[in-house]
Amino acid sequence: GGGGEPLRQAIYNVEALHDKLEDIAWSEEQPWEESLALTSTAPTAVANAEDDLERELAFYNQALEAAQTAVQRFEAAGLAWQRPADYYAEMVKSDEHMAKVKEQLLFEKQQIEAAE
Amino acid sequence: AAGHVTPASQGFKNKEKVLLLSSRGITYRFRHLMLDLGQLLPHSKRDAKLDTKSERGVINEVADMKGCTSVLYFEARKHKDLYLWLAKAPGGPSVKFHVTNVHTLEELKLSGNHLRGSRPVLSFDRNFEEQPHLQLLKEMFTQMFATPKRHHKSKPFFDHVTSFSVVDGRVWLRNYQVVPDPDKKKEAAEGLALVEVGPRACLQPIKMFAGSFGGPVIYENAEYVSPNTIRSMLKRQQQGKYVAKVQ
Repeated sequence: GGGGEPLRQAIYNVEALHDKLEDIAWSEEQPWEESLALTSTAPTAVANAEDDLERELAFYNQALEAAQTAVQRFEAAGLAWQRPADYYAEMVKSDEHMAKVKEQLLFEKQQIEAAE
Repeated sequence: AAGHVTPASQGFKNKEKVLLLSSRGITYRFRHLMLDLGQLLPHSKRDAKLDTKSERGVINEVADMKGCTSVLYFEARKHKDLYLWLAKAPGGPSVKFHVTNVHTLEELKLSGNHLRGSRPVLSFDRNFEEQPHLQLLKEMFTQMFATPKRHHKSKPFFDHVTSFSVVDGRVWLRNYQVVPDPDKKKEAAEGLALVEVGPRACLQPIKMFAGSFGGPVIYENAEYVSPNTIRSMLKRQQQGKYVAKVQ
């Protein structure tokens, strides 16, 4: 805490944290296909968390590495991971919403062009 | 261990089911964050709003009734603060986060999209391996966000990555669409690009408990300052300003 107040005594019970992890853990012992979880090769480093560009780029790169590793694994296993072009199914965002997104992108593009 | 069946995995079936619920008084934006997460978790079940005045232990009973093994509980306070509980029910552990920097799927700036119910690849920052409480959080996130293989609401294609990063002692959640190279000129993995889908959230751990919504505290974040404290500090500063002006 700021304002000169003394910091509260933190609790950090390493043994209990380890015990709890051992109680519930399964993701490491099971085949990768069960969780599809990947850990980045290098820690994600952001010098200034307030810097949106720097932070988002770091997150993007971390996620991209995972996507690439995953695709390599799917391909090595001979799995058809891509959805066929004629496969239609419900998306998380509706067509109406995506039309709005497109409109907004177009509008922003026009604004930039008008400013130039 | 990818690719081959180990003795442990022969009897293994991921039966994870996540209960999603909120307290009363949750605001529009926070409710949408909850609904968005529900979209990302085809193995989740929703339940009615919980009366904040009742004991949180009731949630364990709801989870039991619904056959859920994990809980995401969105606790709204003062119509402006949001706390998120992650719990493994009924045996624990559980963690309480303060949620900030919320962006929902509704926002037009996040232009990605993906299949509803496709299983995500989960990307974890290596920082999760560095400290015991982060290791435990990683396992909890993995169990809750991994869509069980061959779940009846899942689709057998890969088109999104949900990522968890540790910056500033907080967990930052992102969700990206995976876009393959349309020309297929490069190796499949090299030609990939990402477009952010949302939602976004930043989770600052406050406390972790051995049980589900209770039990001994096994972790407490000394760096956490409650939004109430921050607001009253700001108020005090402004009061000071006024006094200085008058004198």
